[in-house]
Amino acid sequence: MTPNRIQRGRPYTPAMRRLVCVALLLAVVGLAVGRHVAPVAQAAARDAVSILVGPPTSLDPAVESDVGSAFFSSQLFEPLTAFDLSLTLRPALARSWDIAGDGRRIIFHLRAGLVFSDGSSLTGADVVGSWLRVINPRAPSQLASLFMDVHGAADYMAGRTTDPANVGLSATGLDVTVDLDRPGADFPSIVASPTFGIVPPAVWRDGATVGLGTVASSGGYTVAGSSATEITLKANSHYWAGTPAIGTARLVLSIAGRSPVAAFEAGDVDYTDISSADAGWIAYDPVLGPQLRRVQALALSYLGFTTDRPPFNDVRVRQAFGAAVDWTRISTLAAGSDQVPAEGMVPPGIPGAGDGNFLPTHDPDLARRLLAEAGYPGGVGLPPIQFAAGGLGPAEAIAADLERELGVTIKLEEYDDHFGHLQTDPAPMWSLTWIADYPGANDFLGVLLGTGSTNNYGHWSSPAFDSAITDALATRDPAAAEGFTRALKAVRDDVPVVPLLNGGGWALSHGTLLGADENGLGILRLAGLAWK
Amino acid sequence: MEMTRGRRRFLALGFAAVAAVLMSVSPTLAASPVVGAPNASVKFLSAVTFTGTATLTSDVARVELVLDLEGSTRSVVADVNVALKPGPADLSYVLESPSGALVPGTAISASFRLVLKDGSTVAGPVTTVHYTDTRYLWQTVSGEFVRVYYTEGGAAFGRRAATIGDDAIRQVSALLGVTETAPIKFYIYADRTAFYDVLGPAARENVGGEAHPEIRTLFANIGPDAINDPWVGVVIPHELTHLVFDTAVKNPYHYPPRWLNEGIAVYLSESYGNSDRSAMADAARKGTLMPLEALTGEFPTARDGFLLAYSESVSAVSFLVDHYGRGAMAALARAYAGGVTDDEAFKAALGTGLVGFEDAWLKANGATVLPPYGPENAPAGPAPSDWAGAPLRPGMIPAERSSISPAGTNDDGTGNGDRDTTGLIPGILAVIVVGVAGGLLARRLRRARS
Repeated sequence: MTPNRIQRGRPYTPAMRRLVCVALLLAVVGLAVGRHVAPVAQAAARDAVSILVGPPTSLDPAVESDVGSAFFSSQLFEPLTAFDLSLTLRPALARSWDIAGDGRRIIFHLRAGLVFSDGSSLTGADVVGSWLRVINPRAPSQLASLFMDVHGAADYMAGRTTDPANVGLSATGLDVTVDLDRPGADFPSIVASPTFGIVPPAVWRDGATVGLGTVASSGGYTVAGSSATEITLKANSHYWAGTPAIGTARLVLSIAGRSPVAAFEAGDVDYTDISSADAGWIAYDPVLGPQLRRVQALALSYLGFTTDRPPFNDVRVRQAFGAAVDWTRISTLAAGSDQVPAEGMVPPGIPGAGDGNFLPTHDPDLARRLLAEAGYPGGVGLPPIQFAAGGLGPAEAIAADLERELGVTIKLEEYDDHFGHLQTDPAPMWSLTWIADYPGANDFLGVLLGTGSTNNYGHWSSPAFDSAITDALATRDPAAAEGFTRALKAVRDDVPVVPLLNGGGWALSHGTLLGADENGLGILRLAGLAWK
Repeated sequence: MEMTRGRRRFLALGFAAVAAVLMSVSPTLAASPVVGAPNASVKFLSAVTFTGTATLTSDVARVELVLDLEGSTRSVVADVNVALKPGPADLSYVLESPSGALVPGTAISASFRLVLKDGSTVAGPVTTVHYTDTRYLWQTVSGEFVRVYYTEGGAAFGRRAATIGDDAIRQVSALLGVTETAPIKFYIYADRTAFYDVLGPAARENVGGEAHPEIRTLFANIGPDAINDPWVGVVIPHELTHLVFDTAVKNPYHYPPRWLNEGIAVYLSESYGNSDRSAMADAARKGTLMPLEALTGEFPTARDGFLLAYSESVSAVSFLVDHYGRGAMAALARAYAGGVTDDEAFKAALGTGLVGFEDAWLKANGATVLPPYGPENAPAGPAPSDWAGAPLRPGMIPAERSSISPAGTNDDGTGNGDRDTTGLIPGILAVIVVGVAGGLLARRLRRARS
């Protein structure tokens, strides 16, 4: 297996961090023998960097929904705001913003003189046009839920209104005004997501497809070329922050089955994700150890139930499944060196994560009673339940506990299009790993579980949960938001999902490569790299 | 789901018998989609192609191919690209199988599945095909536990290989306290290139054998004249030990560390010999020993580190047997089979946790482990000039008409609701375990030392 990029903000599975031959589940890991090639200090004039990544599914900000694709789109199309390596919100295309109307109106002020990579002007109209694409009723972004607090956005996306003027977005010169239906506690953070990258008029106005090098970019890089094994980016000399220090970024898509460690040792890549299985020995390797990097990720792996179809439309069945398994124990046994058992839907470190444990209580006796009350005593009457495992490590352990305690049969399946099926027709049980779009609790709560959210893959609907989220988002301080705690309890009690694991990953980065770090949101900012 | 679908059809037919009108208005209900068994054709080192036919109805939302690979606990479900219109349809799916993707001998069970618009499914009959290496005409000989597949060397070669394998199975079964019952397949390639075709491009240069416990199969590269070479008597027992180890510890929860697996394999195939003792002493003297937690997952890629990892592994296993008795090894395997953590397994079997065991082992070798060389933080890179200064505190709502500048000045004047996000990363760090152990259950490659 070779590393892919973490997926972000969005569906991501640890397994997809690597170029896994999912169709076979038999990808062979390689540890090419080794000359220990000490990565030598590169010449000061070095102008290129090679990074091992997975192929993108799309370069279009309004189309991509996995962190691997977002890595590409975020280099090409800049949002108005950005999070730096300390997770501090910073201005990007916007130089500043005002908040008015009890927090229900936000006015972004774009930097003066912004241009796309082809030299054409970038104005507020481009922001409005780009963001409307996210809620395009004909092809909404899978992450459109992030935008649903914008006045009129839900109606526009649902086709209840066709006039974009009814959406709370407007531009005057370099100012972009956003009107929200609730106080926008986290809106400037939300639009730091790669989904809200700004595309040129050729795309948002004329309908051009965002392909390899087909349109002008607003980000640090543009596409210079591509092949089956590499996409090459070149620095955008019109980038708002100045021309990036590294002129060429070679994004390597394939290393012909070799291990990423071998590719790094051979000098074929300067940065690559690696597995926790390799991180162990690498930490004690005098050459590679100093080049080992811990990759932070505000990520959560969780189990989901499809709640609008039998049998999991019966809350007692969900509660039975929740109580049958010792979730913390299973997660502890499965966790790699880069993971910890989750205690709630919101990863630790994010304000609003809550104190304490928000997992279903392990009580197999209660589980059996609940299942009997639901009409399935001893599991009798339940057909084999498909569990779309999505690469989840402890899937077998979960199935074993459920089968032992409840007498049910779980059929583990791996889909070649896991995310696609989650969107269209999710299996009764499924798993997903989600990495934050922004460091906010709602990205793991309202976005994933709110009624009608595009990312609510299990179709759960709870007025109590929705009310709690509304209350939480109306407060000034997310960290102290009692509403988030209520929401976490609602999830614990109703069991639409079960949180499993939090964690990030590992990478190898050339010792003289500066800025090769991530902030927990899953994306390496190429414009922040330089050679020492 | 199929039961639900079946009930629905039954009800439809029942109503049809009573109300003739239904016969004319609901041809979709009256006609159920049908799908046949796939035909499979194998082209070794290229692809397995599945073809078949179905009669689709307007109910069908998707056609899938469900693949169950021998030894895998998860079915692989692939979408079959077909026009979804009522009537007969030809189905086809190509499963690519380049070098290293599928190992010879793997049984593949396949069936088409129709997913209907209401979420129910119609499953077709199952076809099973074996992915075989058709480049050779294989000869076989069966021992007590091992069935040998070979191409050169004659019957004596095959019998000798079976004897070596059976002897190894008996030895390791006794140590680990298990009884092997299911047959073990042992493929011997005389040609090195052909052998490496099986292993795939990620294989090391010095691999003599490789075990695949998930399909209870061992592959080895042994020339027709080499069956009595000493190294053959090492490689075969070594790899077969991995198969028996897998039988002994198998559970759905947690797999033991690699050092234990490899250490037992070396211990039984070579014993804790002089070269390993010398390597241990040398590393102890130089302070280059790696802790056992560093050897939980993969082993180092560089030759010196790779060999030292094996020396440490067999040293630790030898220490375990010498100080806790052979019975402790079987107890340890039994404990792991119960699905426990490493520490719990060691406490159950040895009366001391993994840390206590490692301390005792290091002390016996007069060794200490130096701090790791990494991970290190990435050196800082360039940042936009206006990204310095105080944070903007994402998520906070400033007072009405407050102005937020790039410098991050929050002039809401209240001082309420501020959230210092600079603590986020340390917060994440604080909760992430800093262990360097990384056992990946899915990784079962076993490599012999050359």
